[in-house]
Amino acid sequence: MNLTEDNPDFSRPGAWRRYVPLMIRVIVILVILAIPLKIISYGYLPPDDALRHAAKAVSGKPWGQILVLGPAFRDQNFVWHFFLRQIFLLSHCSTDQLVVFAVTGLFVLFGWSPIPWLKRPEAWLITLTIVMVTSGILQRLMLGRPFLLTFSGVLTILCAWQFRGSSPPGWRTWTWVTALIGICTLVHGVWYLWGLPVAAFFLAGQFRWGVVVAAGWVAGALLGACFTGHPMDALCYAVEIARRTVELHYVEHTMSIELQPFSGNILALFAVGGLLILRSLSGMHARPWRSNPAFWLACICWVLGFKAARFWNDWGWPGLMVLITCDLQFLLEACFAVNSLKRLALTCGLAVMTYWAVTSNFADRWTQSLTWSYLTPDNRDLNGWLPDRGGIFYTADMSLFFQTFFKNPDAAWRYILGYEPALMPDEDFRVYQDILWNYGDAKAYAPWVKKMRPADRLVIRGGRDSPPHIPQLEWNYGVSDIWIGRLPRTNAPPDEAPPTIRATAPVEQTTQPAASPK
Amino acid sequence: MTDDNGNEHTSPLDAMRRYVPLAIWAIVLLTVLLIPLRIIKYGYLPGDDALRHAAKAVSGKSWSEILVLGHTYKIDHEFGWNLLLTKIHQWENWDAEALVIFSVVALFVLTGCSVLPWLKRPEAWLIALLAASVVSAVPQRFTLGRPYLVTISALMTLLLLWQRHGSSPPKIWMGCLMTILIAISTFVHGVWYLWALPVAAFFFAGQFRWGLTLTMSWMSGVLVGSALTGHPLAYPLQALKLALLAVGMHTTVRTMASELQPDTGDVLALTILGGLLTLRRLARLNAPSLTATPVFWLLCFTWVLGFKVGRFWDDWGWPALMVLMTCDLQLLLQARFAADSFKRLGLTCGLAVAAYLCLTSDLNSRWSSSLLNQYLTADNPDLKGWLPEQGGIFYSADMTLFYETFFKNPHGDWRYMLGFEPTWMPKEDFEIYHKVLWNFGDPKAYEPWVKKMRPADRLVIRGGRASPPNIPQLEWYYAVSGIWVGREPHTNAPPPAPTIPATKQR
Repeated sequence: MNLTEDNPDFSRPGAWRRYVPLMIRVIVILVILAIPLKIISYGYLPPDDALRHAAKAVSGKPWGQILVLGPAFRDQNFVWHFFLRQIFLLSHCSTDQLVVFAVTGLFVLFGWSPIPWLKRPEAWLITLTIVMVTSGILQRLMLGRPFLLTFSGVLTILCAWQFRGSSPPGWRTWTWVTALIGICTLVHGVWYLWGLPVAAFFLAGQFRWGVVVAAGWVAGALLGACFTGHPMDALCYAVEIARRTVELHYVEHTMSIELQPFSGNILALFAVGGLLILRSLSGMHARPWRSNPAFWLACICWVLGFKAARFWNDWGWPGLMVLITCDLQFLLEACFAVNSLKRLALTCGLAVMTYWAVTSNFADRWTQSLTWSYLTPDNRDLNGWLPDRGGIFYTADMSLFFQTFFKNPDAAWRYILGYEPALMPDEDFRVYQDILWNYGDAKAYAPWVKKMRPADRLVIRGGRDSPPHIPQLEWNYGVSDIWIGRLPRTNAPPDEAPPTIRATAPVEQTTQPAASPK
Repeated sequence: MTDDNGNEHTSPLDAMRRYVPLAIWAIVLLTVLLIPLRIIKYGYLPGDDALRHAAKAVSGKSWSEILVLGHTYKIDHEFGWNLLLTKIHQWENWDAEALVIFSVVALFVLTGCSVLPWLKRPEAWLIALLAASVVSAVPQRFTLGRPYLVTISALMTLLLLWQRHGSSPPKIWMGCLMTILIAISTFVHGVWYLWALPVAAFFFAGQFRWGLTLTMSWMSGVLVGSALTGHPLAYPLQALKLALLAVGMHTTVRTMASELQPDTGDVLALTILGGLLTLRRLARLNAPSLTATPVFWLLCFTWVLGFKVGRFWDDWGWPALMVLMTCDLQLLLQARFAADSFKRLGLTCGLAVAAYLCLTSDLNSRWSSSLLNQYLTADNPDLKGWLPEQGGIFYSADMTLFYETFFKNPHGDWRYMLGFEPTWMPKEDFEIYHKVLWNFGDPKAYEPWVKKMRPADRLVIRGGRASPPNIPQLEWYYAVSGIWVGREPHTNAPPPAPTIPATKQR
């Protein structure tokens, strides 16, 4: 231990040492704020739900007017949309700005959530860098989606236990846990997954905390559901849609990527191994892992990750991050006095390291959206090629929904595929599944092509040299990498962009039909 | 004679023990020499700069006669290296391929041997090479035959010089040696400014005397190295401008040369560092504290800087890590084996075999992929009329096409629009190049080049036989496997006829 700098005699050069802890906290807070701002300055846009949340808020329409919906539907992110809508109405900002707000706000919320509990907040910077180099999880934390609220909630509860765990939880703890879980349920919806941290507390033998978190979970979920106006419906629907999302698919490759299994995230295990070695070599008097709910949460979710990666990404990683931060905090406490200038210098170095590690544009991760081409009505080359009023936008590519809805929140058409395939009508889901089952084989689109009306469009991704092989439709290479098909027109208006490829006779008879999972 | 435990005894083999250290030295040296020879035997050719250095030496031309250049690039950036290869070509009449082989072997051996004079246990270096080879592609970078390997050798020499003599203040001969090393590095490689990294590392480690000596050596070395080019001020100034251009003109990192793109954080290298720390603790090695070691600080800086540009880590961080590994392992080996122990000899033999097999293994065709390269050469009758004519320009957005075509046609009477660094081309052409890459090679993005093409020029694009470039203004010829050559339509051109005639006249 190096405690020589603990000397309370603040001689002239050391008089401002008392400000070292404050400066460190400020540095950490500022770095976490600067990270999303730098990433946004690249022109970054998240690829998925954040776009549709912002567009939904701007459109002001219910989902029924945006998507072709199946039998059961309820907006699980009702409050998040309401919140964004109010911001939009107050500020008249664009969808772009709403997304920027969501990305920045939610990342900062996540990044700041453990700081109040930490005595050595610089440990959190090391954790962020470790997470960055061992996984893609920090990219996930820049998605600007409401699950980040849940992520932050889990971090907060685990940190609270970590640093207040020695004293038994009281009614105040129960109150804020209830409020936290209530807000998460209201904004994000997946109330049932809070069973995981509850189980982790019990497995760690932290029964008092387990009871408090369990009671907070029950009360919070009910409270959150009550605010939706349909408490039982909201709770039941969340479970029902989760069941449909998983059960409707025959194989994982037709599911959205984040619901597919993971491979075990070996580098995260390396981090755990490193922590074990660190504990052993530094003679740390840290609490054993078996009595730590963060450890059990990480274990449970790592195993569940083999069923769906989101268990690990959204619930396991917070556990592991808390575990890493706490051990590093122990180490830092042993190595540096609280007001040490060395500690300040280390924090500055860590701040630079974390900032560069996270904002580094490796493999174009923050600038991919710059090369996206959007379908927008103000593009004259698309005149006549977007769906007409009341038409349906057929596609089997979710990114086309996200990007097109993002750029056309007020459009007068609906999308067959939205943000979750399980929301579609069953017969359309089967077509969608056939397309993915056959890796996009043009033949699998046949049922949609058959029921297409003149107002509808079928949109498929593909290069300039590879138009979709669906000759019943005429095709336009609308924008880079996107083909739009429509029923042949005999008397198109003169200002319309002509088709790149005209419709010809269908070729069903000469080729094999697409395979089906059944 | 003593055994590993320090016990004295005699046996018939004792007389041989005195030769053990010598045998170990010989084994390590031979392994370092054999590795590049074996790799070359596969038919290996590096994929990038080594080809153009050799071709330039054979051509005898200046870069402005080879490339269409902007106004910044005036002096050869790797002056000394190109001069050396030109002299070798003039003396020995070696062709471009022989020069490349020379570059690969000589520079690998230089890098591999630069650490050995400073080691008491050279087998530690074999372990470092082996570990680096298993967890990264860095040893592959040692076989690229490029002059940055001179800088890496100089860096490792300098770091090991400190490891060996760092306990005492630097002597005059050490300062002279550092000056010479930096001068040579500046003369052959050009990136003099990056020596600021080790200088900073020495100061951060609290090695102020060494830091000051290195700073003075750096300044004088850069002066001497630059003076040797004949442009003592313009040469280092241009190097700075070129570096700023290379990283400053791209909107996204995707369009940069891959080695200038950011690194992921190389978590396996961190694992090695963690392993070394554990080893220090468990084996109670008498190693200097990490924070007082310049090597450690250089590691830290370059790892962080790697998030901006991967080369910081590859060219400065990894050599530092290898030096650190070697020094720690040397301490371990010294603690475990007597200098003349047969066990040490046995271990060295095993390590030599392992390092040799590991580095020469043709995993994923890494050493033999160049055998499949198809070249555009003037002596191929099928290409008659399809290479650029006298004074023509070879348009392409693929740097490998420049390397390979220039390598095979050092005397070609044309110039290349894209050379070895895109930002050095004229600004308007860089914008076209950037647009091509931005649009993932969309043929539409080539339009400005197609518009300004003259009959003597050619546009060359990679693509399979079944996917000709969708640029109908040009007629296209599937020249060699994987390469399409486009030219303005010729009405009375000699055979061979185009594979796809032009369909839309301008």
